[in-house]
Amino acid sequence: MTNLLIKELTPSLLSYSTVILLLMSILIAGSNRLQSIVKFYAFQSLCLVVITLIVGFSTSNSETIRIATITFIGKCLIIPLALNFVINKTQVHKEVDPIISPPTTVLIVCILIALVYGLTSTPNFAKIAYSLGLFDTAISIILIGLLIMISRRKALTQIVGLYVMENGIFALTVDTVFGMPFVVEMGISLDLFIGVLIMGIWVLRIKQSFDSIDVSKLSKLKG
Amino acid sequence: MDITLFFLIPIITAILCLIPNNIRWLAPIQIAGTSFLFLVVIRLLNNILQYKVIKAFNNLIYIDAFSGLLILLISTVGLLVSLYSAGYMTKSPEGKTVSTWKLKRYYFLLNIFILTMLTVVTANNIGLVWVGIEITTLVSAFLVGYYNKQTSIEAAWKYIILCTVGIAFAMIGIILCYYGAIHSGGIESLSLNWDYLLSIGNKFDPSIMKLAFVFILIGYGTKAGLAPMHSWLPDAHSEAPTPVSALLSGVLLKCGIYSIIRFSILANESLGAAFTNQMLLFFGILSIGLSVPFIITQHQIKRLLAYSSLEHIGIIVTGFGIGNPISIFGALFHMLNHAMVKTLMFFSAGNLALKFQTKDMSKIKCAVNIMPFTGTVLLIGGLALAGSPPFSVFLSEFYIIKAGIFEKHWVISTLFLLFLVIIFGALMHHIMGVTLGNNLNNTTEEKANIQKGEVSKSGIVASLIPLLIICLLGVWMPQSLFKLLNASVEIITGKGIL
Repeated sequence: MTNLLIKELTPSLLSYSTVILLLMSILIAGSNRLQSIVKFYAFQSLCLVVITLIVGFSTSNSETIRIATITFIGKCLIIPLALNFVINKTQVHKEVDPIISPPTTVLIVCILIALVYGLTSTPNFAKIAYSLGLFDTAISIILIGLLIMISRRKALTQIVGLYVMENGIFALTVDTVFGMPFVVEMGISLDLFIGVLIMGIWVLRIKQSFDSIDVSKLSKLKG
Repeated sequence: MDITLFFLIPIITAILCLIPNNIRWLAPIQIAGTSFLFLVVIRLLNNILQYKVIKAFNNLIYIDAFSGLLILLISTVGLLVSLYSAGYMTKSPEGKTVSTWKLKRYYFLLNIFILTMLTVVTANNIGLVWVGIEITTLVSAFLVGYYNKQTSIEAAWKYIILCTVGIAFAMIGIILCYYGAIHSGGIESLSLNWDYLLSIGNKFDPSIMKLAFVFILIGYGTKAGLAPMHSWLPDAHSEAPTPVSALLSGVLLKCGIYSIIRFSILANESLGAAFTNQMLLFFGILSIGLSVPFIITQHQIKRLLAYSSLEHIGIIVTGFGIGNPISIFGALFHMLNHAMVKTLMFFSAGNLALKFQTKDMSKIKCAVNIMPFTGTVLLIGGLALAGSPPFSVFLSEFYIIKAGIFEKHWVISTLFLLFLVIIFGALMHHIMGVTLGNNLNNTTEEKANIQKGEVSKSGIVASLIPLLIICLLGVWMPQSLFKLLNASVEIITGKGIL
């Protein structure tokens, strides 16, 4: 009975998670407040963890479950906490006057998603993967991450953009190869955690010497 | 045993550097550590020549002649940088006193930086190579932003963001490659190990490998400083402390190239060499070409050297792209030569910048009179860097162009020669102005401020060694070095030049 229930539930849970995954990146692209951006990021990571767990249980692969645990600790706890610490320390809460305004960004994001879904249904790409139906979502999230990085001025938003992009790559891994070998996945997670701490330190330094975390002010070096 | 030692030495040196409270102890510890590392590396290279491949730590470490060459570069430049730091880092460019804690942190990070680069070139798992490259960025960002000025913070931020995004693309390439491996029947737990991938390389789906190689080239190309992903390079090189610039330019860029070439060997198994070679040629020539206008119009001496690094990275990649064993030999040899000559140039430029308290070339004149040794070395090094005989840089460039003509790459060879000639002129113009040019605008007061004499003794030793090496290699190559290069060519093309 329970087995049947799980079999019934798994696909719908998977597709719900996928939708929320994509929705969160749209919300990040359309949000102005740094704190809510970080919250959306944490929630997006949680969806990824759920997807990884589903994959782990359905293939009964203990490595995938371990990877999901590490991802949960890192992306849902350490990274958001570190980013929140930086926000409180710098006292910058809002993305004022971004290069592309949030509504326009969301519009561009929608066009991007439509394009990606249209393109990936061509036979050339269909060959690569359709194991979980995550492939086009993953590609969209990578592109949205890039768009966030180039359309915002605050150093902190750029970090979030980078990590959204990384989430996309993680989703791509889960979809195409059900996760990398454990050693590699450990290394990548370690990189991410060290990365957020180090980039956080740099944001604080930027704040200290420029008195703002606006990266468009970093324009002295030329030629 | 040797390999354990090889990773332990940088770690131990790093920790030891945190202990002493007196500045005087730091440099001796660092020099002792890197000299010891150098000796271990020489022993290791001997073993490589004997056994061809060394594997260790449950197959996590895979060392062959190609990695051996990179290990040699890292340890040599590491040693030179330690020597130079002894005299240079105790003096701050603005004449302020240097705090002990800051200097300790510098030496600590320097060792960790060397350690991560050693990990990159020895790891067997291509996923771990990626991790290593990412950590080099994170560690060296602190070194780039060491002076904590507005400009250095800008350079460090650009460096960290651009390289991290670039490397994220390389990750996509690795995922695609792993996917290809699994779908051609590879064992999952082994399918990221380089030696295993190579053994099943010809079964891969070519279209997936093509896509993977493009991602890898863009990703690691950012780290290697290939145009048009090079925009972090001049900023980071010019703002970092001089010893760090030498490490960045001398070896870090080569670690990026190493990762690309390792992957192209794998891709060639299923794709054939034509596709990867075309891509490498395109980016190589573009890098050389793009550096030309920036070298001509440059005002700042360290930026000039940074753009010249862009040019030399282009030369190396073009050499690999021509794909003839001779040109690959030339490219590998050029990696060594460029590491030596660029280290030398950065050291001299750093001495000048410290003496004149500026990096602006219009304010540094007549260096030969004021600093006789540094000025002369800069002049000779400039000649070598521009590629004039009898220095070894000329030889390696000659091998590449010879192979280019032999392979009938007429357009590539013509462009290559044309750019090199223009750069020769531009570079000599700048270097001559700095070393021999008379400073007419200088008032007597300003002249009185600058006393004659060298900055430090350790700086003289540190720039003398690479100078001797490039002079010597121009006329005579030791048999063991030739064997090492030849074995690397064999790894890349499948056959040596003899």
